[in-house]
Amino acid sequence: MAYFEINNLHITHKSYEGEKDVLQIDHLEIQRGETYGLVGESGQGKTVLALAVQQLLACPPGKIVSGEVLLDGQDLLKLNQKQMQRSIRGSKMAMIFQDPMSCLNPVFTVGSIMTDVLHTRRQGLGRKEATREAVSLLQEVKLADAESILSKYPHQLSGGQRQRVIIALALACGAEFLIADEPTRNLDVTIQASILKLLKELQLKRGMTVLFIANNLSLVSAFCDRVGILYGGRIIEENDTAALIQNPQQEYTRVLLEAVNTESRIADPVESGEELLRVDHLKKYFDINDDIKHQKHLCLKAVDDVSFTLNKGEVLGIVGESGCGKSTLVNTILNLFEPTEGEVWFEGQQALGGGKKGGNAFKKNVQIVFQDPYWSLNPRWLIKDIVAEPIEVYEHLGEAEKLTRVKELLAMVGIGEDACYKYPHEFSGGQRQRIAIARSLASQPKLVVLDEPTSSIDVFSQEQILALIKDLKKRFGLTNILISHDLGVVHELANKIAVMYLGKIVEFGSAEDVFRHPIHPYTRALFDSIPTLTTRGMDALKTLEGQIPSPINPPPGCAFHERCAYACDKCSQCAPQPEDMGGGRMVSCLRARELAEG
Amino acid sequence: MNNLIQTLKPRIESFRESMYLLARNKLSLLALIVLVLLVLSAIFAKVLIPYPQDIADASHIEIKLQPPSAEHWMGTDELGRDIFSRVVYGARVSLSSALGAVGLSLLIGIPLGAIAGSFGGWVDNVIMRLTDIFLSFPPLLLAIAMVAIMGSGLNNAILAISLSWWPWYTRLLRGQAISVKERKFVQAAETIGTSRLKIIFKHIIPNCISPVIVQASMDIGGVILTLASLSFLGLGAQLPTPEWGLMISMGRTYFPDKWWYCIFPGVAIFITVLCFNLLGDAIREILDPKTRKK
Repeated sequence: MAYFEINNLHITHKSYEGEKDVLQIDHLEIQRGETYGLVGESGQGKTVLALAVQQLLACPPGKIVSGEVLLDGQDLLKLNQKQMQRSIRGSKMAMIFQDPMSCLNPVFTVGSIMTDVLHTRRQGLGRKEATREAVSLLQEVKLADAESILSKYPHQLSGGQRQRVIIALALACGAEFLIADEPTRNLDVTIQASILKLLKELQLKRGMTVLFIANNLSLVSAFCDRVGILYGGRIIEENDTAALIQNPQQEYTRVLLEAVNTESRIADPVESGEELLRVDHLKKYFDINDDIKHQKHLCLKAVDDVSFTLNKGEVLGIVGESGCGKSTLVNTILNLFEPTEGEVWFEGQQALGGGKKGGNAFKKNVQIVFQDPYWSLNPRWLIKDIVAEPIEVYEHLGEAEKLTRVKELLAMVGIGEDACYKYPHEFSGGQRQRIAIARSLASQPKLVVLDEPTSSIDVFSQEQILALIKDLKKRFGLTNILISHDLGVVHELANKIAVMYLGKIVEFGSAEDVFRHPIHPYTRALFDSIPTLTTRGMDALKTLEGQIPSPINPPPGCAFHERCAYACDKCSQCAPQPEDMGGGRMVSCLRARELAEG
Repeated sequence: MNNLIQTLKPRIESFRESMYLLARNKLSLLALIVLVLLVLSAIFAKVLIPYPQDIADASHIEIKLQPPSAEHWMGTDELGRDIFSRVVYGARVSLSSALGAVGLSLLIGIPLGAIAGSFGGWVDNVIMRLTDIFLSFPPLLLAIAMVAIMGSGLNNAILAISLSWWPWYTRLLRGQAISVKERKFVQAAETIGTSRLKIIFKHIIPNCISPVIVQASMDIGGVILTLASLSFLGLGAQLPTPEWGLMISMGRTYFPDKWWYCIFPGVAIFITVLCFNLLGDAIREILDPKTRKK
């Protein structure tokens, strides 16, 4: 008999539109010691499953119609809350939630959270013993300096550290069955790799069984023995990881695989025209006054001396970990922030601070498509008003003419004209993103910034949105700046890549060169820490140790030297200047020449 | 015409959904029904009441202070006027003044809050310190002081209440505006080049308004109470206006012997205020996008 088994589990959700099936699982079994990956996008029922198994699902509106969940032969759904609390949750199964930022109580120190859990589980445990136990748990999850972390509050820890604390809590009571619900979502790729490695190590050491929930097949390919694909609340395909990746049976699985397959996609070659945008030594510093510590005029260098040029028709992809200054750079270029220093030239004219009129002409020519299409459209406006917003600002058209223009724009992005009189919430994420794109084109811009254009929509729509972006780019000769953490998307769209670290561009060059032969150690580490479908087992995954240093107080010399595998003595003393490697390639590293050669 | 139908369709759909959400909570549904009846009787008071002349200065001394009977369901007052007629007509006085006072406060409070929240800096500071000053007086006392200066009367009482009430809405809206202005559609409007004022009035305010409406609907009860208190003290409605607070004030000399004189206007206040409070919670649920379908 399997260690963990689900039979005929049927869960419904009651709402205004009546009762809806959210989960219908006929059979799922996990053997002892196995790692089972459950893959599906948001809304397919992954989290519902994780919660229902632990009897943590909110009922109502949820309702468990029928089914059984067997753990070690015991039907969990027959137990009441008290029994679950006492003998299952924590002691037999534990869960790692997806958002490490919000699942530690901010008003307690890590120490008191941990000892509290230990006390509830083990009666009669003394204070000193509990603390000692907590320290050893934190050491087990490889947190350096465990004692000092005990006295810290969650907000003082980084995302990766918090996730480690959460893993330690899950281990605290010796659970043998671990449910990891997208444990690395919202974490940077470099930290993601180290968390996954840690989980694998702990699993082997403690002989745990893991149900790993993910929205992305490449994570699973490195981590899991077997994979099930969840779609519309049903497991549509299940197989050994390698077999599933090599030989997918379902269309949905194929699309999921295609979405993470970076190799097959390359950007269309472009004929670069004349210079469109030139960014010249742009700096954006934020002043911070720390009144408590009496440190005045601290300076957060969000964008620190960035220069690049972009020619007509090109697509520049900006990549880097969160907090590296990607968004601030773009917002400063878009004139949403006042630059501290430096200039932005657009079509040979200075774009920033050029008086109201000059500024407006620039705004007309530069538009942005935001990451989350739900919040970038005003939920209280009709679609026709949303798309017409730029038209109202720049052209004075009559109602009828405006409506015709709106319909044209919507048709261009593949949305029917009956959409005009609907509200944003009536559309899916992909459709909303199309509407956002239609709006961004309404003022006939020359440069469109795409801020993670596909990261919050499902894979089916991702493909279509990318195709649409490519198509529109060709039709209107648009130039794009693309921000994305998804290297597949960058691969597919960008001709030029800028890799940012701590406010600076550390490597800049044509996409082909940078992807094929990254020079800067940070670029290499960044590319290596992203699992792909060919990553088998955790050993193949390289990790980048350490945290991103604070931009308020960056390390002396090269900002990256503390985490760099190639660092030498000089790196901590002298800051590298961008070095021209030929062919428009710039690398900011003291050892750039050496690394480029071998 | 076709456009009109298309525009209306989502609204009808959303109204149906609102009703569904409302009907889930039986108590708020009951409150809504009672309030609808109350509003209807307030609108049609003149037709509904059995003794229309009694809402003014009529006097029938011969039947004064009669207990409830078949002719006079709630008895009569010291001038022999029908208390039922006066209580029903009182709903009209109370509801319209409360709506007026809350409406006026919203009119002052919402734009100020939106401006404070979206501009920030010294504008925010000036507006918010002003609200702090207003909020540091007990509202009832502030209203009493204002009425004392402006002279008593229902209209002055309404004005006084709105002047002591608006800061709450300013605060609430400012807090909302600060979070809404960080939303992407506001940034999108900025990159499009939409003017500042248009962003405030067409993007920020419509997305901040829900909690303010909830607060306002719950406040209507409180305003009715405050108005009744002012009238009770002789600073609000003047004789012979059939205002509930004023009626209690007049009737208290005859309490507890002629209990009906005080009790029925009191019950009217109690039911109205309770219903508004119950409804407030339901409205919060309806306006909260999280309880709606995506």
